[in-house]
This record gives sequence, structure tokens and C-alpha cells, in this order.
Amino acid sequence: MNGTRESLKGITRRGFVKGALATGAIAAAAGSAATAQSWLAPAKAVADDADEHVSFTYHNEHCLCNCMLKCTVRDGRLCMIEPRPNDDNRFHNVCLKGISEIQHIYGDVRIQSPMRRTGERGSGEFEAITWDEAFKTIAEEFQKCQKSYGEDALWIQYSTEAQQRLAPLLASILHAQAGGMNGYDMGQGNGLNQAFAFSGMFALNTMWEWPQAKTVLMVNCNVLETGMMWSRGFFQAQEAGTKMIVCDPRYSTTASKADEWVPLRPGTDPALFLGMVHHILDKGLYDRDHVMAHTNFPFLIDVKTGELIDADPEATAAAQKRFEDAQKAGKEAVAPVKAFMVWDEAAKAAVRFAEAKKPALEGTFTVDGRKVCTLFTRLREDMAEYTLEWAEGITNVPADQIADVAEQYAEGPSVICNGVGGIDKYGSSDIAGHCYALIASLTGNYGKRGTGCGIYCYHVTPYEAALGGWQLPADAAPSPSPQGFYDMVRTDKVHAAMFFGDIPTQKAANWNKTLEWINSLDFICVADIYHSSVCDYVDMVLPSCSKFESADAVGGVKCANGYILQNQKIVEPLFEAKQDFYIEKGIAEAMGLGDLYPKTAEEYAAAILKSDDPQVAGFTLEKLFEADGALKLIGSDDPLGPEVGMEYHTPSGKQEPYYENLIKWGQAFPAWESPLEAYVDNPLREKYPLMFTQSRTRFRVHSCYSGAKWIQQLYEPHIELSPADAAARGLANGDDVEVFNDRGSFRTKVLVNDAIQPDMAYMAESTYAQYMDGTLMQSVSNDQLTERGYDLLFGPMIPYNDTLIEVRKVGA
Amino acid sequence: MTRLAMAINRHRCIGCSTCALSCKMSNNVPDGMLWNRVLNEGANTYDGAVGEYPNLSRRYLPLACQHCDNPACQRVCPTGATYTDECGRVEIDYDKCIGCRMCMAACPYNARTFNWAEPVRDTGFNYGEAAVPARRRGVMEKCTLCKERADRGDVPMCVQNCPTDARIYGDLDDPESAVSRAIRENNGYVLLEDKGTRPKVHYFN
Repeated sequence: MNGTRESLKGITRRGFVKGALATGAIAAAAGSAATAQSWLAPAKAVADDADEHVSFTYHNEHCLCNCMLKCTVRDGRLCMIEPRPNDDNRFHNVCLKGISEIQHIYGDVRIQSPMRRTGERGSGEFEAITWDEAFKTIAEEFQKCQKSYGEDALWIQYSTEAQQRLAPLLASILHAQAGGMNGYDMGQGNGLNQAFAFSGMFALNTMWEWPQAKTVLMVNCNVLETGMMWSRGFFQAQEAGTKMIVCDPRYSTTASKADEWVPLRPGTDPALFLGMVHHILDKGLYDRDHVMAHTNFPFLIDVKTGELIDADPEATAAAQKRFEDAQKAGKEAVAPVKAFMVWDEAAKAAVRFAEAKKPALEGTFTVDGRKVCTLFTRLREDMAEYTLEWAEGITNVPADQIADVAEQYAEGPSVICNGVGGIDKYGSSDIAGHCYALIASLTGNYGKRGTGCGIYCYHVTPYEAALGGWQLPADAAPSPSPQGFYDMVRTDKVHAAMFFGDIPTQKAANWNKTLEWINSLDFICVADIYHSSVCDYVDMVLPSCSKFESADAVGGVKCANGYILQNQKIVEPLFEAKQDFYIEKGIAEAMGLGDLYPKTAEEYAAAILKSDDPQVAGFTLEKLFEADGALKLIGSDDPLGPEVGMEYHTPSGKQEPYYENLIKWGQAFPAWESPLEAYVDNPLREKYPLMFTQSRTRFRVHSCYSGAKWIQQLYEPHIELSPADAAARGLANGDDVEVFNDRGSFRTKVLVNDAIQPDMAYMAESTYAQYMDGTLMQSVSNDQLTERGYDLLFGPMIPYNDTLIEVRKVGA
Repeated sequence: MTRLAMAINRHRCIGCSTCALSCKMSNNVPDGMLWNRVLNEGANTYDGAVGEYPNLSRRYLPLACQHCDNPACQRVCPTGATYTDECGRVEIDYDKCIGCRMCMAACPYNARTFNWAEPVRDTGFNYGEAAVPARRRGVMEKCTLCKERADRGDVPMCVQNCPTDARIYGDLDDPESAVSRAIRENNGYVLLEDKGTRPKVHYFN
């Protein structure tokens, strides 16, 4: 644009593409009217003598870079995407979204140039500006904000929806806040991590162990749509005889391919599992040998307080003080551990666990005048109320089926494979995760081959290399950001913000609240590849490159699925787009900080490869070119990796499904807690009777691909209702509807689908507002956080799915 | 002889349409057209189900040219544009196609798609295999079993890109080929057998 300002109104992005192509050798082949000459000319190959070459890259960070891609470029344009050839069929992957990039990256939804808002926020009125103007304005706004309100009044947050090929540096250099807690995907992890002392997120073993399992219980996991690359693992196990059981309120693709479907009510997963645990205890289906050898169920607690009994509380207290002092002094220290006690049936006394000859599993005893019981006894008491009939009442799953699933699971070896949809977007998501830990440790379904729990369908190797990075000054780090974006929107702490990708419409529920926050800011800027929903509400929009564009020969490197992957340049940056790296660097330069950055993205990528990790010994950018963009980690040949085993970094070294730190929340063992809003008996259902669930789909990565025309040929946004609920509202397929509650409303089309549970409404999450009449589906979603969440590892989760709505025909 | 064919494992088909878009890309299929589609048998929506909640079933049906041994389309083609090649594939000689659409009406699988207007591509350029011929307005087109790829030894793009390995490609005249074995060992079947078209595309599970 060379400094000329030009209103974008009336300029279509398509126009730019066509203009750019007018000089292309093959432009005449498409779009021109047929003439007698062309009608009669023999059909010829489209590109007999074109300039064609192949380069390699990987696809979305958001899918954890599952797809290594071979890209054919003809006359400078990306014309074919295929899986990079790989002898290991597991990593020979592409999906419809990858293929759709052929059109998508050239499509009319691309942001083409830096733009400055000219109308009101939300008006969508912008003017094109130069990169120099953009960088200068951003630098001034950032400096003004930090000078007036402090360094941490600037919020710079990154999502994988923009390009994100290299770890961002800007928030660290500017000491801005970069976002703390995530607020989603980690709810079950919150409840799962303590028992086995891992993150609680990705399972420590992989789906290639599933053929060794008798049963895989999939909970809120629709792998056959949302992790398509790993569908092979599902079918491989199923064909080997493993029984696949899917728990999902909706008859998902995965449910339809499973051996058994458990159609529970939304938000009731913990009740299903509590009923199963009750049945397992009732029928003695737990694994006694495992429980005695590898869990802390025999440990004694104080009946009254629930605290684990300590043989030497004074020593523990003294060790705790030393620990806290060391922490204050910034020294490394290990948290003290109680001297756990059990009841020794041989000695008829409470003794330290290590000294017990014959620990009792059950019983209530008196020790030093205190009434104590074993954890197992407490478990029986806590689970007593969760009968099969009770569970049926909550979940609407027949008691017989709950019992049957419990028996199959208990027999084992069994796996619980959780996804991050469904219950993960309820306030009680941690309780669900805690239930997985409880039932697994009770039945011996953790630690040995063919067992486990956690997320299985995003990563499929146990191998990960430690890579290097770019050296910044010692003080470079983001300001502490103790709150998630979902909290920040309720405060006035932040005065200027920049987002890479559309975070505001997706990382917080209740859009109208988020919008109030946006409107309170002095300056807000977004860098994105596509004109996502938030763009219309910001002051400045910057065009990011797609995953296929790079100004350098190398745009990034990544460790994924046991490989080091190389983002080779596929095509030059399209339109006026820049890589996220160069957008950051441009801002830093305008602030006089450009020297802190690598000169090029390629230099940064080379620095990342500098690592002492023997798994990547000798790996260089040149070696990656020779290997067509992917090198397998050294020593990663065994697809299974080591057995998880029975030793854990828990305080006792054993499986610990009892969470002493959650006693105050009544969740030391998991306890049923109704959803906050979307439950059957909620009086609010008189106004808003439908339980609204959003989940992922094969057609999107969150909102991305909303504008991909090839995807649009297969899928357009809509809300799905059961035939009964549609009929009750006089709705038929294709009707325009308004979806609403007290928080707000949005508009879309309705689709009547037998796969939807009555009383439920379902919609694939997130679509650009421009395809929903300018409205946003987060207008209705619930933003009420649970206080307990702040005591958990990953903080509270946004209860997007814990939402009641009503649907009516537009104009009715 | 060689009779190139495909067997599709319907249990492994997850309805993702990666095959549909891979085909579109590889064969430069214009906007609004597909050579290969994924249907949901008995349901009226893409991810619909058959039955009443919770007693439901769902079966996806990937559908393209069935490369029949007795092709109804070929029999009605007045110019010989539709022909069976030496590998048993039913192909179209675009130069001979006069756009009469008799083949389209005759095909019981609705596998053919017609260039009613000058083809439009949102990209503004041709994509896919360089060797694939461009088609013009007034010409019929459909799945070629990726003739250009297969003739240089590659498998069709839908087979290569299927994330679940649901598609098996090979020679029906070789009884030991993977495709022959898959059909034999899994009680493979063809669509609309009563039409007498004798498709080479088989389904199982």
C-alpha cells in the first residue's frame, strides 16, 4: 500500500487474489468465458510446463502438529497437499482441513493488510495502513499504557490460531502479562493429577497399548471426529478385540462406531462413575492385591477431620518450616511428607506404614484417644449413597447398564480415555477427573500395560525432546499473571491488549461481559490469519501468515509425536501478511528493542535446534532439509515406551486417590455436585429448558476454517435439536432461529437430528460472526466460576456447557 | 488382464470427507462440484442417525464412480466419450464429450457431475496433479480412479489420504491382491447389484 490509505469498504479480498493472478501463466484456464477456440481445443494437462516443486511442513499447532505435510507448489502457488511419505503409517496423515488449505489460504476471509479502525468498535469499518504506521502506533500505545499504569497493565496473549511457528518473545521483553490460567481443556486434569502425580492431562502411555486392554472407556472423547489422525488406534484396538465403550449424551461419530454407547445426560459423568464405584465396592470387584500393594487405601485418617494420621507430626511441622524458609530464600527444596500410618493387624496397633506386617484394609480404630479409620473404610461410607438407582436417576442411564459397564471396567485391563469436551466445560469437571483416578486405583487399572487414564487422542508417542530457544536478557519474562483471561475481563487492571488469534471470543464465556471489557480498553489489537469474530471489535487488525507462508527458507521447527519437524517455506507471504515472529519483531523495533530478536525466523529456528538432548544429537536445519522436513527422535523406535509402573512421585509413592487438600471443599474423595445451571430440576428450565452443549467437530479447529469454502461445501453452522424439541417449537430443518437466555442471544439455522438427546441442544463450537448474522455463540454461555477451582492445579474451568437456553424461530 | 478396483471398509469410514476433498484437490474439481462424496445412509443430515434416541445407528457411504464392468453410462454414450480402458477403469475422453448428459441420467449411482457453466475455482488457479486435464464448460466429469497418479504407480489420492485406511486399492484380476482378499474375506458387496452394472468398487463391513 506504500503509505496510501484506502478504505477497505467495497474492496473485496477476492479482487486482490484475482488481480495478483492476472500475470500468472495459468490464469486463463479458470474464469474466462468459453470461446469457440477453447471449446474445440483438446483437453490438456493443466500445467505441462509449469514451474513445480515440493516442500515440507507441518500443520496446525492446535492439533499438536499431527500432520507432516508434503506440499506441491506450482508457479508460486500451493496446489497440492499430501501426507509426507513415512514408512510408519501412523504418521502418514492429513485431514479435510489440511486439504482445504488449498483454497483457504487464498480465500476471501484472509486479512490482507494492516488495518486501523475508522468507525465505532463493532462497526467493522477500517482503513488500510502500512506496516510502519501499524508498528509505530502499537509501540506508542504500548509505551503509553505501561508508563501510565505499569508494565503489567499490558496484556499480550498468544493462541495457536494465528501462525505461532516460533515461541513468542514480545510479552517477555515488555514484561507484559501473557495470560495465566487457561480456563478450559484442563478440568478433568485438575482432578486426575494428584492421584498419580502427573499433569493429569496427557496419559503417560499411548493408545498403541489399547490392544492389550480388554475395555477402553471413552468419556467425552469423540476421537473419530476430533482426533481423526488417531482413528487408526481406535480401530486397531477394536479389531484386536478390545471393547470400545463410549459415554456421550450425543450419538457422536465415535459412539456410532463403538461396541457400546452409554447415552448419559450432559454434565452427569461424575454420577455415572460414582454409581460404578458403589457397585464395584458393593460386589467386591476391586483388585484387593493391587489396592494393598500400590495404593494408600489402607492409610489411616482422623474420622472427624479426615486428615491423614501422621506418626510424627512435630517432625513434619519442623520440616515444613524448613521447606517454607528455603522457598522464601529461593532455594530448591522438597515438600515434607507425613509419616503415614496403617493399622497393623499383627500388632493390633497403628504403626508407620513401612513397619506394618499386616496392614488392615478396612476398619475403625482408636489411636491415642482419637477415632481413626482406613481410607478404604471412608470410601465405603462416602460412596454408600451413590447406589445404581441413584446414578440412574441422575444420569438417565439404566442401572443395569451402569452395573455392566462397571463390571467390564473392573475386570480389566481397562483404560479411561478422556477428551476435553463435554464434562470438561462444567464446574464439576475436576470431580469427573477425580472419579477416573479413584476407579482406576481401586480396580488396578493404572500403571500396568493395557491400563491407564488421561488424554490419549492428541499425542501418540511417549517421546519428547528438550529443545533450545532464543536467549533473552536475564530479566526478560512476562509479568506474573495469576489470573486467567476469564478473570481479567472482570477487572480494570489491563488498559491495552494484543492478541495473536481470536482469544477474546473463545477464552471467555458470556460475550457481552467480554465486550464490556474490550470497550473499556484504551487500545486493543489483533493479529490473525483470518477475519475472525473479534476483529470487528478492535482498534487495529494485523495480517498473520498462514502455516504455509514464510519469508525465510525455514519458518519454524517443532517437536511433535517423536519427530523434529521443519516448517519449510512453501509459498512467499501472501497479500501483505507477515509471520507472527516478524510482527513481534516489528513492534519491538519500533520500541527500540529490535536488537533482542534473532535476525530472521530461520536464525531462531536454528537456535531452537541447539540442545544437549541426545534424542536430537546432530539435528540441524540442513539435516532436516535432507530428510524432507522431519527427523525421528533418536532412540524412539519402541512405540510403547516403558511401562508406567507402580512408583509415583506422590507423597507416599503410591496411588493416592484421596485428596487431603480438598477436605475443605468436601472433595477428598469425589462427591456428587450438580451442574451450576444445566440440570434437570433447575427452575430456570421453565424459561430456558434446553441444555446447550458445544463441542469440537471435524470441520473446525475452534473457529478456524469457518471461512474455508471447501469446508463450507460440506458444513455450515447450525444448532441441532432432537425431533421432539424441534416439533415442540414448530421448527424444521433450515429454519433461521434465535438462541437466547438472560445473558444474550445469537442467530443461526436449526437442524433436526435424531442423534441429539431430548432436552439438549448441540452446536459445533465457534464460527466467525460473519456467518451467523453478526452474532456470537458465546453470547449465551455460562461464565460462573467455581471457587474450588482456584485451589486446583490449573485453576477454575469456564463452564461453557453448563448453560440453559431457549430456541425460537426468527421473527416468531 | 488388469481390473483396477477399490474395496471400502464402511466400519472404518468415519464420514470425515477427507477423501472427498482430497479428490477435489488432486483432480482440480471446480467449485460446487465433487467427484467423491460421503453420504449418510438413511439419514437426512450429514451427521444424522437412523432410529429413535437412544436406539440409533449410522452408516456412512463414500460414493464415487463405481467403475462398473457393465457401465450403464458407457452404453448410452453416443460419441464413445465414455470408455473402459485397458485397466478396466471407466474413463471419459473429454474431447469427445458433447455434453448430452445421457450418461448422467443412466448412472444409477449419480456419480457424474457436469460443467453446466464455465468452471470456477475460488483460488483463481488450477490445483492438483499437473497431468490432470482441465475440463471445460459442457463436459461431463467423474472419478477416474486417479488415472494420472495410478499410471505412474501411485494409489488414488482418496486411498492415500484416508485417515482410517478404510480404502483398499488394487487389481481384482489378481486373486492375491489386497483388494481381492478384502472382498473375499469380508463378504464384500456392491451397490445396487440388481441393476446389473457389476461395479468394481466393493464395500464391506
